[in-house]
Amino acid sequence: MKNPGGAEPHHDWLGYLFAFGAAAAYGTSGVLIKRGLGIYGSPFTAITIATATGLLVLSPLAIASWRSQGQGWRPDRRALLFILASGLCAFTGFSSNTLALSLLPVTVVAPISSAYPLVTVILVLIFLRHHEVISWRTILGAALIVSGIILIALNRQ
Amino acid sequence: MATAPLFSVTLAVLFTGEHLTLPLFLGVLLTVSGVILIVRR
Repeated sequence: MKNPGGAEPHHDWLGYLFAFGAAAAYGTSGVLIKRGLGIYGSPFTAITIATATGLLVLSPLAIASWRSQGQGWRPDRRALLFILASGLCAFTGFSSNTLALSLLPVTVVAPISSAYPLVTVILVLIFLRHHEVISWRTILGAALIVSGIILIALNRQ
Repeated sequence: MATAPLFSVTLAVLFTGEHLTLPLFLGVLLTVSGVILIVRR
């Protein structure tokens, strides 16, 4: 299989393993947050504790990564801006997901919050219309996501 | 990542007692299929 990331093809299985690991971890986190919210109640406290835990786990890796860059290394200012904006988006996504879980069941929130590629497709259609080609598969995927979300929303009423 | 909701829904039904009706299940399947179609290379 062709690997655009540049890794050796025989490491594909490792990529799939990590991808499924990510799905299992992300899928489990929603249920754990819901259980925690059931006991604790405050979604804002849950967001703070979960974010602080992530920061604590990530800190040693971040320090090691910073040191490996060598002395005097400074990140490119423009790249830093994009990465900061991306971090803010990720934080907003996580917070919104937690707030949604405090109001609705996991079976409703999980599929809707996983529909984020649809937002990417819409943004590509608006901003990169002349640079990227939207395939029929993408359009079909977007239609399936919208149908699925409508079905989930109708089922709640 | 696209299959994360399947893990969430399975765990929610098995361990937290949430109910999964047929339309909800179909909705989950449609959403996950759509995401897989978009992100698959």
